[in-house]
Amino acid sequence: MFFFTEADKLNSQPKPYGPLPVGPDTKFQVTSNFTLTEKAKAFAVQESLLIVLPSTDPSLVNVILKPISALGISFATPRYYIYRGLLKNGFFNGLTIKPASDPDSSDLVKRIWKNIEVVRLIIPAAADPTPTYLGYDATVVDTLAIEDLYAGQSPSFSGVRVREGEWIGDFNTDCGFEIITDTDTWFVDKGYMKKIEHVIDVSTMLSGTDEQKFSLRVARESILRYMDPAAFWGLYFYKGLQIFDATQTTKRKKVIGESLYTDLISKYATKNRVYLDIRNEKGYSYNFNKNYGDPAASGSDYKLKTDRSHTYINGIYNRHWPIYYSDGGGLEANTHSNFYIQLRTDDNIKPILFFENPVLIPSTTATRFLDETKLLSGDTSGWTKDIVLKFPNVAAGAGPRMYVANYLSLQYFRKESSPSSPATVLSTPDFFDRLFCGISNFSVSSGPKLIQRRNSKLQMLTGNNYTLVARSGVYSGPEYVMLYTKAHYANSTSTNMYPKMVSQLELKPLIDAASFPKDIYFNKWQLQLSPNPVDVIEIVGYNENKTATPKENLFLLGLSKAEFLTLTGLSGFHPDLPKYIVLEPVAGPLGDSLGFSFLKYKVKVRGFKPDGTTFTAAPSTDISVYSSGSNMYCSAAFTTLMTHLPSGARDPLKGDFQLSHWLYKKADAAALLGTDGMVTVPDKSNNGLNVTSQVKVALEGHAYFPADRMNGPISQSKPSHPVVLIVHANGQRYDQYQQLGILLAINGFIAVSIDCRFQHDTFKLHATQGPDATNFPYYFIIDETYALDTADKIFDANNIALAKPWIKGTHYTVESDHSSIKLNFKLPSQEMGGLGRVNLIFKHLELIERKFGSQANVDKIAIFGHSRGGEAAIMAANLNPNPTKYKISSLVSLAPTDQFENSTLTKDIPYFVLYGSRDGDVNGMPTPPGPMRSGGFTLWDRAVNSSLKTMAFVYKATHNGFIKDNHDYIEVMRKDLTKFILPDPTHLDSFLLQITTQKNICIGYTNAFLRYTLFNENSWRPLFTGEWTPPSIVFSGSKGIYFQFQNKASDRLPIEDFESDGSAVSTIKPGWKKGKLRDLPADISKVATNADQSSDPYSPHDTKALSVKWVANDKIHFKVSDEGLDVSSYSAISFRITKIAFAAGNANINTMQVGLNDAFMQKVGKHVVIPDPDLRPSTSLGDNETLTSKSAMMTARIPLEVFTAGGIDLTKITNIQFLFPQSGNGSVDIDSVEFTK
Amino acid sequence: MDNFTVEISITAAPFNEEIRIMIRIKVTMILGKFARRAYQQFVKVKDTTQSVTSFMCNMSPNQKELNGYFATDALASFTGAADVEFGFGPEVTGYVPVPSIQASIKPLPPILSGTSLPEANNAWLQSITQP
Repeated sequence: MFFFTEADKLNSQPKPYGPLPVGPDTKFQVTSNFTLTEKAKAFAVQESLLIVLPSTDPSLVNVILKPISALGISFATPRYYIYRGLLKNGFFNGLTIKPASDPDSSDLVKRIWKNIEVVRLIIPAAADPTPTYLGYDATVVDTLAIEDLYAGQSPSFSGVRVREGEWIGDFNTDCGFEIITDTDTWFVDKGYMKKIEHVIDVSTMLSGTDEQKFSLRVARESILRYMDPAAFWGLYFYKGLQIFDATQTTKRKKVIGESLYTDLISKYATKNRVYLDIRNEKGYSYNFNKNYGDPAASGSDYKLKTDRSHTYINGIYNRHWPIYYSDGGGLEANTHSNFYIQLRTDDNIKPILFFENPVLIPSTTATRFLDETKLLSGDTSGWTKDIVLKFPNVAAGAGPRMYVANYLSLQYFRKESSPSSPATVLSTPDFFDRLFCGISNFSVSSGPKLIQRRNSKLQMLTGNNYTLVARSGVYSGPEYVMLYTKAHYANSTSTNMYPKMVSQLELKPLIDAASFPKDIYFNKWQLQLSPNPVDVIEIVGYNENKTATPKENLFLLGLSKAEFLTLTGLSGFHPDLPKYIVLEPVAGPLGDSLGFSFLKYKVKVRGFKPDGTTFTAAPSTDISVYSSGSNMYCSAAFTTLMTHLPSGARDPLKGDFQLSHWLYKKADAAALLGTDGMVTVPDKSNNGLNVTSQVKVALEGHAYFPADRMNGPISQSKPSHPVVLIVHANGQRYDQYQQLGILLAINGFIAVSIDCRFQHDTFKLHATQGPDATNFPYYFIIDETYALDTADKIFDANNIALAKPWIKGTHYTVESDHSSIKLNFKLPSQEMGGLGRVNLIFKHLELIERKFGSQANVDKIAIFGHSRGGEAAIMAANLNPNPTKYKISSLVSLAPTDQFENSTLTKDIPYFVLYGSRDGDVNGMPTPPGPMRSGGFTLWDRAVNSSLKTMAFVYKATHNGFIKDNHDYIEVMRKDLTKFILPDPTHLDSFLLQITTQKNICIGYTNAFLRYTLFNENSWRPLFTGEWTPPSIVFSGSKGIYFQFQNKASDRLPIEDFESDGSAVSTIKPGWKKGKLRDLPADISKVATNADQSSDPYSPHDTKALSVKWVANDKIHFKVSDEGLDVSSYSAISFRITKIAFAAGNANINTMQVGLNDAFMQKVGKHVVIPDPDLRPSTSLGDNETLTSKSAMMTARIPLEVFTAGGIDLTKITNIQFLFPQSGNGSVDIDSVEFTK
Repeated sequence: MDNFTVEISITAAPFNEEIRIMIRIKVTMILGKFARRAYQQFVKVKDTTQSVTSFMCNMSPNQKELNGYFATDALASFTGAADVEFGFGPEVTGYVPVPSIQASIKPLPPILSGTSLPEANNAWLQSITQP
């Protein structure tokens, strides 16, 4: 901070800040004027933006500074500093800036010319700077808002930056200095800036009627927009500030403490004036609402004393102005003085006092808050307890120590609204009513640029477990307005946190990063509402200070500008006061046609009538805002304007419900079912025969389900919840799918991870030796691995010396009926096959029905299976023993095997396959002449469901990485078991997808697919066509997710599937013709099956495709129809394509084009990107690991609008063309050419 | 492949909770252990002209051993040297050459001799195999 002029040239103050000597009750001087001993330099008090403006005196100018840095003390930065009475010729010389060569040119003037010199190095003919360079334009109308100048609404000017302490000009013989702290409901305009000084004058206002009285009160409040500069400098008493000192090399020196008082403050007439500025919950003066007053003391609303030993006196405002001040001396012999005050409580049932400057409180444990527990402490007298405030004083000769001018700022909030408040109080019964700042036409910009208007008044937010003081304001552009409220100081915070967005994730879009610098992450998605869908924007992350941030730290409200102006234009309110947003909840629960729940509010405004009472008004046409539950509320008109936020599905890693769970063991199942909790199911596991065996399994699992409170009973918000069975992989356990179960539960599913390990190690033992069957010890032998000796130890019968370290009671138990003995191994066994898992699924469904009753929606069952479980998922769909009762409606196979039944999905159930290119287990190793059995592809290819099917092939993902770890691929890389060379984990991480990402893909896409197919939420579809990746899942580099997507049968028109092996004629569209193909005679024979991989040994598919070896300018030309096929009801042309792995020349083709012909013209569509196959490296053994690389087809979709924009008539399509690049050569497989929706 | 040992023996083992006499080929990994895989494990005997795959194959709880089970007459035609091959699904993890299969088969342990347990032979296997 730098003092604004040369202090030693300040002479006297004929017109100090405060009530005027003549008419002190009605006139208040807000410009602090001085006469000077001689011309004095003016300095920038802070780093600021400067504008020079005309004065009513043609020889003078006035300057306004808008600070752009903080004060360095606990006090809000003023809005403006105004310097009145600077010499015009200190800036200008006629129509140019004063020459730098003048000996009395200011630092600012010299810097301007220096800047011009730099400019002229680039533009030699650059003109001399004119007064407009400093914003000076005498022709501009007086109503021009200065803030619009700063906002750059006038082209090419937004103030000149000046440094703290920079010499900016010269005062002549008088100077005026003004500090403006609040412009919430008024503009500083050019007319205001012209004045020599400003006086608030209410002498002509009447006070007869209620309305006149209230208007007078409002007018008096305007003094609170200003500060006495003397008190402002006094705030720096303990910190010190800089003043000009010509004797110093740096031309400055620091003054602090008594020297600050002596050198600066003592120059002011108000040098000993201490202000006590108490504001109410809306930022008005403490008793603006006239709700406080002691009836026993003539309505007195505060008590004050200046010495602890004194008796309180009832306070009154000075001269009716709404601020208390005292010019006095310290009565207590300390280096600081005190005010002791008491405030009224009356209708403020839970008061809380906020001190922005904790120095005010004489306590070593200074806090910014005193809440009702301290202020009231059970006192019902109507007065608070003593509030002690301190401020500095100085010695004054032999007399008492005198106050140092200062400013004590307090905010007297209320934590709760009271029904007993009079009608003059702006009650805020609802949480939403105090969220946002007051609004008026002054809140928004009239220009074309987005601007921020920060509100000066503080907000108090109270909610569940938190209390905080917030800053608020408005961003406004030409079309939209966004109100914000951000935490400033927290008294207490909740534990409801925004997730910290990690840097490796691609950041979600920001609404306006430049003007809202904190990291806020938004997601936009669509509610399917009638008659029109509505976009919703939600806050999904807020990295305030890059740490986890409580959710209450940010609230946003988005409206169109027209809506905003409708609200501010509502009539019946006092014209000089703001209105306050009221969000009236629409009764819920609300859900769109897809089942997404949302919140909706009608926007109204509350404010003061002209007579000072309050009321609420609503626009004639409802203005509604929507929210997904985050602290962002937007109208449909606002979200429509946010075109730079991509619209997409909701974040699939989020949920709407609370979590509850049920871990059930055999005994729980037994109690519910009235059995022993065991089931025997047919299986074909673990044998090379087509032999059904019976395996015994304990009904155990972990159910995760939605609840309305954490760990509460199942949610009653919906009549029932779909059931998802999670079937684990061989070698995994059911408790390893917890993340998936939790996410599904909080999305409204009953997710049940079932235990598929069986108890096959229960053996009947037969007596082979021993005296008889009724007396121990026996030797019972089953396979000689397991034998029982006299000590009940298990040993290897072939080598009795090698006793097994298994412990009776822990690892096994013995049952005996004296005719035989059973040895029960307690550790469950892996190896259950597909059939056993299928049968087990339905046993668990019975149990889940029993547990959850009608809340378990068995009309909507999904099966998620991993590995063997993934194959079991489609087996279950085909083998469902009771399809009328158990309606399997969605299937997900994660890295599935294809080994048990050559399973083919024939039921019309939506199907999703998730598979990793670095699967180290189900890796698709070829076993010529047999099929590859890379189940991720083969199950998908063979699925003949007429519902949609989609598959995500995730590069660099592994078999178990989606659930647990990447060890399966690590095992591949260390096949040389005798050497036991462990791979370098760092090296592995470089070519494997991170576990966290794989898990997010697995749980996020599974959740999205189940919501898409079971809740019919079509907004998730873009995830499965590959057209959209959720920001919370996006990753980059050589890793990617590639999709095969086949729409449901009714939404697609197949053109060619190449299944007519060896035939030149399509089985689907007779008459398709081949274009120019390399090896033309051979190309039909290259219609490949994956059975022998004759044309592509790396194909993981179980379908035929067209294998094309192309050279430059080749085309494939499909004759669709002679007369023209009508495809206008479809939205895209799609096909599957892959580069053939390891084929020569493939690097030359990264894109290819697709064209359509109608009966009259041809149009080439956009390029289709073809990814490179993920080539798996060989191991150190030089084995066939590379053979597990895959020519994996992905689906390309080209919107037909690309062609219609070029004039193609979609009702008459005759040809489809595939156009290869104009150079190079390569090999690709193409399949599934079709039109689709 | 000296990380693996093979032991061929006649034993009694349960299949569908019924104890039968059958041949077991136990493959033991000396260093390391077998991974639990999605693919089913197998043990196979093959020579230049023929091969036979275990009809049942277990992994020991400590994952050190693969136990492949064969019908009592399944190896009768292997009169000379053969390889014992093992692996998972389509993948061959390793093999161990056996100079003489027949000579390597250990008889039923004395502790089991004299029992009247039924045999798991090819005829029985065919009888229980579904078409």
